[in-house]
Amino acid sequence: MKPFLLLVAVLTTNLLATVVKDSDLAMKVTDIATTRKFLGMDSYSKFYGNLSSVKVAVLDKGFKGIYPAREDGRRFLPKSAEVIDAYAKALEDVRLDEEDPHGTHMAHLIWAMTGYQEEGPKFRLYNANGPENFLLAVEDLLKWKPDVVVFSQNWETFGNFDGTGFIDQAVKEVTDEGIIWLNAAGNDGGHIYNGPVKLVKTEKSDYFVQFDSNSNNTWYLRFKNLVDENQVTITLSWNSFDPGYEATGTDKDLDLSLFVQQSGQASKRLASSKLIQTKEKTGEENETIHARERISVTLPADKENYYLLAVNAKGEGSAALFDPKKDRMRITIRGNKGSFYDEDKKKNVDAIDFVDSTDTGEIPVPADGSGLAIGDLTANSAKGPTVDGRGKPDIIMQKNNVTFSDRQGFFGTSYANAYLGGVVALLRAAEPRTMQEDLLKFRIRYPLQYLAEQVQAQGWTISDVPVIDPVLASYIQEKWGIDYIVMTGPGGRTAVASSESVDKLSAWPKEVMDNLKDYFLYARAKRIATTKRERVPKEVEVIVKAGYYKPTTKRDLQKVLVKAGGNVAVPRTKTVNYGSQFVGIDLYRGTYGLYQPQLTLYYTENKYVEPEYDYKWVDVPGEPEWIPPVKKTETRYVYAQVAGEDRVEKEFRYQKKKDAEAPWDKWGGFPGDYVEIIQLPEFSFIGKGAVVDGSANSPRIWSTPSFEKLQRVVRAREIR
Amino acid sequence: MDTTLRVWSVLLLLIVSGRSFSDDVKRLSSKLENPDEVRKYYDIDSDLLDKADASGVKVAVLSKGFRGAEDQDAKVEDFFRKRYLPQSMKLFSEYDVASFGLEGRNEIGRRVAQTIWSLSGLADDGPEFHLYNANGLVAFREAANALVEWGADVVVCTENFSAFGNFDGTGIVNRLVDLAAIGEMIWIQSAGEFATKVINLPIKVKERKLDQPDPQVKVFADDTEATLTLSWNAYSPGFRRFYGTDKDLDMILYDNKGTEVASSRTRQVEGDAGDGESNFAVEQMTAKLFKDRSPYYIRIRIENGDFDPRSDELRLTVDTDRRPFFDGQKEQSAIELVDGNREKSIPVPADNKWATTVGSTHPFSSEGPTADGRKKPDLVLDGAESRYTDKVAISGPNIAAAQLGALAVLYKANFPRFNRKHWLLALQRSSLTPKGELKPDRKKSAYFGARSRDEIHDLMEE
Repeated sequence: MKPFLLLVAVLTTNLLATVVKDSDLAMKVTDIATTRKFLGMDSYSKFYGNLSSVKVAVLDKGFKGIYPAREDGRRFLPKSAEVIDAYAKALEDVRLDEEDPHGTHMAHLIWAMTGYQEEGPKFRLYNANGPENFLLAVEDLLKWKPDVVVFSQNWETFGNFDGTGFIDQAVKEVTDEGIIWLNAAGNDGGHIYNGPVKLVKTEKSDYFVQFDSNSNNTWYLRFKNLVDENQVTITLSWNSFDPGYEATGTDKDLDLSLFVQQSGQASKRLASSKLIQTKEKTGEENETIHARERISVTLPADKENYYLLAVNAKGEGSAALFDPKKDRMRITIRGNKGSFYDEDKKKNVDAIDFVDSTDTGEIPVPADGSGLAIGDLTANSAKGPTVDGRGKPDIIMQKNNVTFSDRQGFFGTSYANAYLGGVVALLRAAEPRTMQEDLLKFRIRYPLQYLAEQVQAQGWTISDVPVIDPVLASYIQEKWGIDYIVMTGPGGRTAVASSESVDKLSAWPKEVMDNLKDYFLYARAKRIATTKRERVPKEVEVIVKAGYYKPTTKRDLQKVLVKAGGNVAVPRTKTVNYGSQFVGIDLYRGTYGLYQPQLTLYYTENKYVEPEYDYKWVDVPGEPEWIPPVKKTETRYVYAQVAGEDRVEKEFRYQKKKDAEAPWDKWGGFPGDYVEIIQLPEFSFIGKGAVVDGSANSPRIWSTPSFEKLQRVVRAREIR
Repeated sequence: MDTTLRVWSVLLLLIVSGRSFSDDVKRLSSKLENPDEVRKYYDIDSDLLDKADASGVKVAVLSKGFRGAEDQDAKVEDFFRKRYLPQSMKLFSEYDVASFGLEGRNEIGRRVAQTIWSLSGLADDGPEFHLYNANGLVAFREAANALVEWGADVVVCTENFSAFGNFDGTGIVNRLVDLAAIGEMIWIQSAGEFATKVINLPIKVKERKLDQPDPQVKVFADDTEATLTLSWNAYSPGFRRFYGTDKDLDMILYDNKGTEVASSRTRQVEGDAGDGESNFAVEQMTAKLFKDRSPYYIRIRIENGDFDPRSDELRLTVDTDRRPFFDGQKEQSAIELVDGNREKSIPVPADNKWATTVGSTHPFSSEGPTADGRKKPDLVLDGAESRYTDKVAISGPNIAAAQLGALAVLYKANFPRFNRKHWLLALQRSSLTPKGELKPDRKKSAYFGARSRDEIHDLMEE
């Protein structure tokens, strides 16, 4: 197209775009301009005129305010939006929940991200309340052919958690049509147990599952409920779902029971779920074709005693059908009380403490399927991998919360998903040939795997890879069972990198370095710590996030800091060259809904600058607290001590001085005395990919897929 | 031990044991989590608690919501029944005459009763609770009559009205409270949360309007439902029969462009009232407010009657159920009545002469004086927060009233002869201000300290 014509075209599309007046809206998103900018969309209003050709399907359980519509005529969506509440083929009349605004929020966020244009996108809102409606919604949208589907619900059953099952199969039919499917990863982080169905015969010829748990007794799973009147739903599901669309049943039959531990007495059975699994429906009472059991109970709080879950097979015949090498089960616990502020612990704690959760493999159905699973940075965001070993979630969105102009706030992976939905909708307006695969460029990378591949590509053997930080190496080795850690940054500017390692890494292909340049490293680790006095092993969890960013001004830097933590201040320290490269390392523990860094270390040109703000380590009960690092120094170590032990702190300070000379000599000998030493320069390469599971145990590299970056990806693909 | 045996030994542990239901009740229901903390906060003597026998004490709670209490003892699970209050508790949600029902989602009344029970010892046999629906004027009247007939010892009322009284302790609602509190009954009244939500104005007429600029409402959160109430002091101070008034005001709400949003144009009349007419000096309307139409203007029109600005006064109340939000720097109300009064925001019947009105240091807790210049609330407590085991935490004048009600119950439970006169005397001595006065000062709560059992004993002997 000639430049003149192009200009006319752009002007024409702009003229077509109409921003809906505030007085027509029921509410708006308060900080949408900031979010659009953060996601690289603010300069692309020229594509708004194309939104009329973009179709967005939102599947959900309720669209309050849209269905039924408001009496005052104020709207949440363009006039063209349609609601599909009932389906002609529906066997059961499960209608939309008229009190549930979740779907309204999803659609409205997408619209807000695309500039509140009257012309579009075109929304179709589907009733997906229950699996049957979900399937019918999919059937309908396959005819409608939307550009993108946004689904922010999920199930803790109805699939095998490996991307198969009738729900996942339906999603696959959608993605096979080239339709982009965005699915929230769910907020069940820490609330799930996964394990094999390993049945053991009892004296009475019952068959009970022996769990993979840390408990002394592996015949049950333990959890605590800390809030009274918590309406808890416990779902047992196992991988006996037909991988296809037919949803044929199974005769592999498990039952689920809930007990409460009583001090000094026998445990007491509170409830059980004993459905009869069948291959085909016969009309018998209590039968189901689905491989699941569910207990819904209102539980009282009990800080002292555990609630116990036991799983058994229904008779010898059913037990014989299970193979512990192939058959796997999942238990998910959800409560209607989320988290609360604990006055004693001075922090937010989860109402349900599932102590035997596996803390991995938490992706629900259909987030485990062929669509993209979108997670966030909170501890509750479900973690991968899927049962078949795929790393999920696919994409992490840093932005996961919203405040509407009615001043109600919400957060979670649903909202992270809706933001990405907005990005994708505008992208389809700008680049109609955008595909789901383009978004995969922003898939989370699991560096253990990635770096192992790179090391091999270099023709190196593992022993060639230089070890730069033996302390961190031993730490990582202990946790992840791998041998070496390689750490460096381009140009070898970091003090930790030895010249040898820099030489090595400078030989790495430019493509490798470029590929990592814009990414963050996100690692999560647990370690057994021992107090010096008591020698009592305690577990501490630390999440390490290293980032790379190029601020150009002090103001820019401030934005980065605020973005990262929300409560940090720009270091007032003097001789900092803000124009140079900058790396932030945040140690934080995700609290529910809050992104709250406890400690941030900043590196600039060969200098370490300690930010001047109070560190707030949200401690884990009985676990060590963090001590801020020493004042401005080249030694970049963070130490921990056990809460309340002053003596340890003094020793620590003394020791720290010595450590500065040769830290690993000292630390190598007493790995249990203090906890973490985190030492990450700009890039952290962790070598020898012994563990490659994409799980929470594996560090992740992630980046928010902004509009601008995605557009570059799409255009680059088209040029190729 | 082989595997089979080990499994069996574990399963033995899982056998159902036969604990009685009554044991479960205590363990399972949500209750006050911090009773010791609250008692300590008010210096409540442990002797007072240990020697209390609340079994004969009758406590009436008036509120418009008791969610949860209606299905007390309902079986929720095989192992779980709801039990918030003693078994003797009775809930009166409906009366023989038509009245508003209880608000389904509102549970403040139940929480108040729970607080009283927990602080007074959580005994199985007492106190005896009657929970009365007081939602609206008719229900309030029926509740007041019923509790007088029952002979309640202590009444804790969380309900307040923006109308139905002259804000000087007179009017139909106050007369009901007078009748109850004038005997030996201890009536503890929440001060309500009307500070900054009211404007009191003399009724000076100019061209059928108020002779002053229209009051404004600013909106900070979209889609906020506001209730606007206009009331003026045209209520008969008596009680026998209310004949109404012909002093007629109307209220109209305009947005920032002058478009009418809502109005209330009831015609005030004396004697029998027909359609669109009322005996009561009140106009009320609700409207959903939005930021883009803010500020809103409230026009008050004089439709009928002779008003004297020296004696006739109106009160405009603008309220919402929407909670304040944090705007990044401070707590912000969803809507604000511009120039709303903090002083003289005491509602009806918190202005009652015989009731003990309890305020708190909550920012919206109503403040005195009353229209006739009396100090109200009688007591301002910054009140310990009541926390419940289902992780709900409540503070404010309603809970402060409940906590003070619990103290009254404890006194009564120790000394059956304890009555309203003793109560007022005890309160005076509980207020440790230098002059012994009960000052409705927002920072004076620290001066409150409960009297010990011995002190109450001596006080009654006097």
